[in-house]
Amino acid sequence: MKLIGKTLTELLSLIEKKQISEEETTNYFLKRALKYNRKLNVFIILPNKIKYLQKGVLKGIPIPFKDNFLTKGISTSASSNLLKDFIPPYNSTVVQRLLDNGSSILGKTNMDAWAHGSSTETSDFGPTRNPWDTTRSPGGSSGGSAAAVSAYLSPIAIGSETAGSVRQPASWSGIVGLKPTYGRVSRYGVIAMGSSLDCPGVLALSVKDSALILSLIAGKDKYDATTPDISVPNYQDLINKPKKYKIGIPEEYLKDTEKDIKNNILDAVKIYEKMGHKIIKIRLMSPKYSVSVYTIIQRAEVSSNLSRYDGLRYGKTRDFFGEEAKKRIMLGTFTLSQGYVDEYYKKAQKVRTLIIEGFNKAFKEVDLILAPSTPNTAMKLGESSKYSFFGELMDRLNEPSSVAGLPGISIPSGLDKKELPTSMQIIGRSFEEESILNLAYQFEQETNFFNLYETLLKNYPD
Amino acid sequence: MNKYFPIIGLEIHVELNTKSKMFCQCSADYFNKKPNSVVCPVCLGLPGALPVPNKKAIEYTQFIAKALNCKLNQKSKFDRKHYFYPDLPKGYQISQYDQPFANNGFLLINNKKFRIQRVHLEEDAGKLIHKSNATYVDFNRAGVPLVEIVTKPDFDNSTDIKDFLEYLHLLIQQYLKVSNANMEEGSMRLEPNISLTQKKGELPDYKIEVKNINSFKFVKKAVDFEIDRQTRLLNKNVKLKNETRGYDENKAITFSQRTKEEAKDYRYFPEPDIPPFTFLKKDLDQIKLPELPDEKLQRYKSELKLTHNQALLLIKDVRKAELFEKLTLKENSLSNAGKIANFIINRAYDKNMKILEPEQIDKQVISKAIKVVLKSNQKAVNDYSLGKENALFFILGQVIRVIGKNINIKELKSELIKQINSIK
Amino acid sequence: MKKGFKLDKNIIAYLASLSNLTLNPKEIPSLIKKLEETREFIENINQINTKKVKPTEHPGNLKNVTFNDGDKDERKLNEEQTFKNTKNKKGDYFITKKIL
Repeated sequence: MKLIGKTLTELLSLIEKKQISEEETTNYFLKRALKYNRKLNVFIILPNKIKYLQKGVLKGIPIPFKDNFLTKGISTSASSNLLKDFIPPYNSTVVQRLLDNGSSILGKTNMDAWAHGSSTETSDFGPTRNPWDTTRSPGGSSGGSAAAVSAYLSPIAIGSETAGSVRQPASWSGIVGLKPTYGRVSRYGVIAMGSSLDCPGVLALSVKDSALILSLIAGKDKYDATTPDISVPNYQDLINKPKKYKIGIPEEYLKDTEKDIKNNILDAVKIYEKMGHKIIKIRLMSPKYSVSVYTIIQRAEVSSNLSRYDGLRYGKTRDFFGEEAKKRIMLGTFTLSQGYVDEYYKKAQKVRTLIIEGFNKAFKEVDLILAPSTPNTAMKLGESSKYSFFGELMDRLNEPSSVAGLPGISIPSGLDKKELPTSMQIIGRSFEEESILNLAYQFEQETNFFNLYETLLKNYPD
Repeated sequence: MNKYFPIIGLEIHVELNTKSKMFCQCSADYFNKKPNSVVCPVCLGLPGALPVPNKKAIEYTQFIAKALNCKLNQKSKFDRKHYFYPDLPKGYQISQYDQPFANNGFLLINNKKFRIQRVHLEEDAGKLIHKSNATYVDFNRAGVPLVEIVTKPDFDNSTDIKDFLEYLHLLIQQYLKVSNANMEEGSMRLEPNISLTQKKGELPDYKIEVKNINSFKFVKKAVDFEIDRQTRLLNKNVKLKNETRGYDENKAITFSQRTKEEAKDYRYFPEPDIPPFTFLKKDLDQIKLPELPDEKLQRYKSELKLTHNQALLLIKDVRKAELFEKLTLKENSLSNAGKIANFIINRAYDKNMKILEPEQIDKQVISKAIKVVLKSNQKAVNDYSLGKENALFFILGQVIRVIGKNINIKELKSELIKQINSIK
Repeated sequence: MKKGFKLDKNIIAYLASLSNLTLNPKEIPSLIKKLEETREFIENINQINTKKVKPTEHPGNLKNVTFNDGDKDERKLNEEQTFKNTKNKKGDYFITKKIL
């Protein structure tokens, strides 16, 4: 039985039908992970053996977790030297819910240190390499998790997004990346970056898989006051009933996007039109303002959230912060400091309100918004150092929806001339993940994502 | 010599006696527990931990605020207050900045109105123990709910301050029952901000904060010392600046801890992990207070015709007041209220308010005790003979202490008077 | 923002102390340059009129989230867990250098 490239849903069905065993499946992925990790630097923690935990829906499938998710008894470092030896005494809620549903932990994936970045290059443990072209970055900060799925070291992986950190690496690595509504999934046990922005998210090969995982991790958590008591629908069921939508295209987001990305999205629009969806042009605030709003609010919250790392109760002292962390802390402190807080932090919060209102207005005309996920495709490792605030610039097409707390999903839309994957994103209303999943699934059914995975996985045989 | 007018505002912290801490389910009963044994990821400030507020702590805060005649705010939120210190696990304290739970109250003490600026809720920090070569940190207290009461700078003398504090203590500990409010244990803390001005009513350009006043009995001393110290310096034309000083109870002085040349930049911003609060006016209006000490005092005097002293002695121990009310209700006779009051005042009680029957103590023991006390309290005896009734009570108290047992006070008093008169 | 405002050495030093960070003197010029470029960019929010706009302090509409006092304590750490990740332990205490 050839397992390579099978989705999570397909694997679970095979196990259910007893055509393969849980043990075989787990060992299969562990073997691939061990085989390719040196080349790709996906995992910073990878065991030699995986123990079985409880039985459940996920039938032991080993899941890679981005290294900012606390895993009880297993090193959690946010890819930073400062936390290199930290062994948490508790599991984050997302990890616990997946374990309770029968998954196991494949390993901890590499990320930009403290999630500060969009390329995995700020990791203290070396950058992760893009499976499509190992001289390039897989994106970030969930680069390790994205590369894990892209190279089929696991059918799904858990990442997190503050603004772009799931959708952008999904885009550069040519896979599906789901960022839920802020508050849909608990942040308890995730090393905090931007408290009003952070969202645990899912990297996967198929939309259906991300729907399944979302239904298992979403929902109110008594330990996270920002998770409302809104019921979690059966997402998998809902995406099986395709709906027709009014889809908005914001001109501002197409403006400084690479030509091939733009063309692939326009082709996708034609496909959607043929399927019977209505395409409407909409106006949204230029992303360049969202970059500023996001940079200010995120860095302010970062400067605050990293204050607990004083080396007394855990971790090393503050001089073990890398350059990027120090930069962000200092600018964050600046925007909150006396004399400047009104002009920067408070002003940013006001513009945030306008961004939210802009989306509310758009969602009166349309059901969903379609846009490029990223302005460019995977960049070469080393390029990022040319920019003074690389991460925030790269994520400019994700920051508006992140700042507004909206859900978004990135799906492959084809290849560019360099034979690198291009992607597009669907943004929806708060707590309407079923709609973005539904529309994304229709595209997947129609195109099979142009068989991109088959193409890539030829380079990553068992 | 110039005349200076003290301008003093008070910052009082009260630890609530909730079961759980402010943002986690750890026990709030941390006092005297093994160090670092009452902690969890939240109050220890571990990576990934998140705060969820304790509902009762908020209710208690509004309770206190209402008893202080404050306006309860319909909109409120928590904010982060940033500073680095080993006893502050997150590097910030979750507190309240511009939208506290209550504002603008007052208390009437000694016929004067002392205004309350604000009442807000925050979390306590851990405890530091300074040794010769290192500092030890215990996080048991980190995260315990703390109510902060800030007055306007309406005080100008230490007596009013002491009386204000004693009333606040009585109110919070015995009537609202939301805190042990014990200064020695740290469940009530006072920090006066003291300055002097030459022009009455004009705020000076500095204020000096005094910390570490660990008991009621040091309040007057500390405040008076500081007023005196500042007076002497100003008379020497020394320019006073913002400063934090500590009180040393052994030397009975204040000493400098930190000069606050620049105000600390706490970089307050709204706590993103905790959604804000909206209260309905009708719900706030419905918060019911028990009868408060000064209300009770007035009622005992006007309706039940007790003397001021009788009423005061009863209200100062709410259990006696409750017992008094129970008995007067039973008796159903206002005319006996005075007798019942005296009965209750003159009795001794165990900690469960059970009246202790006076033991039959040997007359000789009583006589001996009186003799000893009279001998070593000549001044009091003289005062009494000069007509100062209070001196008698003082001597009485000393005798009771010496005897150390439960005794019928009325009988003792008459025996004492007999002996004093026999000396003359 | 005052015209001509730029982040300089003094502000950077102040921010570092406020953030409890020590900076490598060699890193400082590059740090100032990058931070100033970022700060200059983010000033573009001043182009947007926010005259009557209220700040968003919390995305979403959640209010009044609390827990019930006395709820079961399921997260208590034992001694081993409390001190597992530090060497700064003496007896039952965390220990740090003496604070003056």
